[in-house]
Amino acid sequence: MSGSLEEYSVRFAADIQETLDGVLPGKRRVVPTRFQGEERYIVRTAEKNVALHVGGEHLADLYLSFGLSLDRSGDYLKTVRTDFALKSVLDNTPLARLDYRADMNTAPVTHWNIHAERGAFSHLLARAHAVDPERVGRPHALSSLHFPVGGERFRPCLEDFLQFLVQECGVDSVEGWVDVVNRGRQAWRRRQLRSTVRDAQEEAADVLRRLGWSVERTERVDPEEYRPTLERW
Amino acid sequence: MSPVITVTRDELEDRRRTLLAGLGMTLDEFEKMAATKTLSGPEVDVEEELAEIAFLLGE
Repeated sequence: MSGSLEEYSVRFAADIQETLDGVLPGKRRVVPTRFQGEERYIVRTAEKNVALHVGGEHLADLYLSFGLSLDRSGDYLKTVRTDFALKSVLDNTPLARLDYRADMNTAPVTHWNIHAERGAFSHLLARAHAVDPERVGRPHALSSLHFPVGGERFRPCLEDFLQFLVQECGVDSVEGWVDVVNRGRQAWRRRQLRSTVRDAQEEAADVLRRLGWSVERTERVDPEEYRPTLERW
Repeated sequence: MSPVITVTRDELEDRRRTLLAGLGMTLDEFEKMAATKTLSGPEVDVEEELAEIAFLLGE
C-alpha cells in the first residue's frame, strides 16, 4: 500500500508540474516530500517561490503548497490543505492568498485573504472591535478576514488561481495556457462532482431518475455521515 | 518526474529550529506575533515553512 501511495504523490506532483509548465514561462521542479514512516506529503516547487513575470520583468512570486494525507478510509491519499499565494517582489509579502484546510475549526474551510486596505472597511471593523474585541480581532488588517469560497467541494482549483494570475493580474503566460487550465479545471470539477455525489446521494439519485436512469436505493449509506461536508462554510 | 524526498523527525525539527533562530524567536513567540501583527516578507516565508513542517509532523 505504501508504495502505491508514494507513487500517487509522485503522479500528483507530475500533474502540478505539467500544469505550471503549460501556463507559466520558465523552469521549476515540483517535488513531493514525505515524513518518514507516515503517509503525509507536502508537494511544492523545490524553489519555494515561482517567479512571475510581466513583460519579461520579474514582478511577483507564486507560492503553492499541497498537503496530502490518508482519507477517511485510510486507503487513499487526499489533498487536505493547499496554499496558493501571490506575493509582490517589492517586499515579498502576500497580495492575495487562497487557503484550504480540511480540518479548519473556525475560519472557512476554503478562503481568500486579500492583503489590501480600505478606509471604510476599517471603519466597520474598528467599530465592531470597539463593541466586542471577540467579534473582530484585528480591525487594522483587512488581510485578517477570511472570505469564504465554496467549502471543501466547491472551492477554486489551482487552474482557477493560475487563470486569475494571467487574466486578471496580467502575468506572462505561455502559448496554449487556456487549453491547459480548461483541461485541468474540467478534470478537477469531475473529481469534485464524484465526491459531491457521495455527499448527497439522495439528491444525485433523484436527478438521475428524472433524467431516465434506473437507480436503486441501498441501505449501506448513512446520509448523516456526509452532512458536515455540506454544512461547513 | 521527481522522486519523493523522505525527511525524518530530526531533520524537520532541526529545520524548524533554524528558521526560528533566524528570527531570534521561540515557536510560541512567533505564533503569538503572527496572530497579532502583519508579518514582513521574511516572516511570511518562515510562517509558510513552519506550517508545512507542522503538517508533516502531524501536529
